[in-house]
Amino acid sequence: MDQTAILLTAAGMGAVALAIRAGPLLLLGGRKLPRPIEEALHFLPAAALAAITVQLLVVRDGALQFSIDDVTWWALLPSVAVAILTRSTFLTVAVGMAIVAGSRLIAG
Amino acid sequence: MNGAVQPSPLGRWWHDAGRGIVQILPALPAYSAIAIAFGVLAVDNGIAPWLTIMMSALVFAGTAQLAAVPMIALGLPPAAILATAAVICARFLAMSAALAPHLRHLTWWQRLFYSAHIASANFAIHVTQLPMRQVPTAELFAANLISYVIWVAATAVGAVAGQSAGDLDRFGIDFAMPAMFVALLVGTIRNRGQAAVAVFGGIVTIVLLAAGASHWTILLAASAGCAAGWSLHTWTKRRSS
Repeated sequence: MDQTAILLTAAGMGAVALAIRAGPLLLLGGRKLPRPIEEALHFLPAAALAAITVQLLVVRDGALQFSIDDVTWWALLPSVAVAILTRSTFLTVAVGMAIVAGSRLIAG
Repeated sequence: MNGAVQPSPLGRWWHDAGRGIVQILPALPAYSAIAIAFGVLAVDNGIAPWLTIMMSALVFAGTAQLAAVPMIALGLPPAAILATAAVICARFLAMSAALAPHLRHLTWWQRLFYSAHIASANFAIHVTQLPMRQVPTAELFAANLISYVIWVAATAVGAVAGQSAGDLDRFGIDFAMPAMFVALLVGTIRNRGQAAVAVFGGIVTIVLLAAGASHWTILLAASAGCAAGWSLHTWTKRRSS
């Protein structure tokens, strides 16, 4: 693939990504939605965040993976505890990263 | 007479923008690591550094970009690459739909500009903040723009510095994004209904991943969780009336 084709493909990918990102915001954002849809959308943030979080935790190299040797699982519980106790994103990330980095350092 | 000094409009704008930047800071190490990895991978697969940087500037979607690199290297038709990008970006439909009810105050072109920079981390922050308070426009856009600038800059580092960036995972950077999402998910849950939806959404995600739903997983799991939450809400309302 020559450089012009790669650039045009990248521009096309950008257009596709923008259309998908902008679609609901432009179509739904400016008008009052029917009550059942408004009620259903109320639950979308929790559902979407849970789906993304779980995917980030269980997918490694594109495949579903659970392993007791994976230090990120050991860091998960303390991170959840810090999130519940402090409600601080920064502290949760800092504690989680420190546990993962420390475990890897000890494991060599 | 009130002695308090009111900030100027410019001062208020900087204050709001600064708050947006501070909120997104925990996600930036993870963004940088992924963007550097993309830069290294693209250049290793024969894509020129300037095109690698342009791709990040035009697309701003990590998974879609990472998937496109081997397809470009293999010389697959652009239509196949665009179709793959569309499938991978399907998760943005759920994110955009979740944000839509809270961004009605923006003009259509502001919504268009905002949507161009929706990504997992700023979505998570804004979807948590917007139902609780009127988030100033400068705060919204600052969080999005700083993510975008860091994404493109880190891609440039990966494309130019290449392998010398080393293994950033030893600093636990690969856990930054999951930890941030854990914190934001915990912050989103304010009642039993939302907790049930989150647990259900998580279980559906694992089932879909095991079934091979791959890039459709987030959209499908979020929709299923949303439908389950609404059904539970409707059933509870009928029972109590």
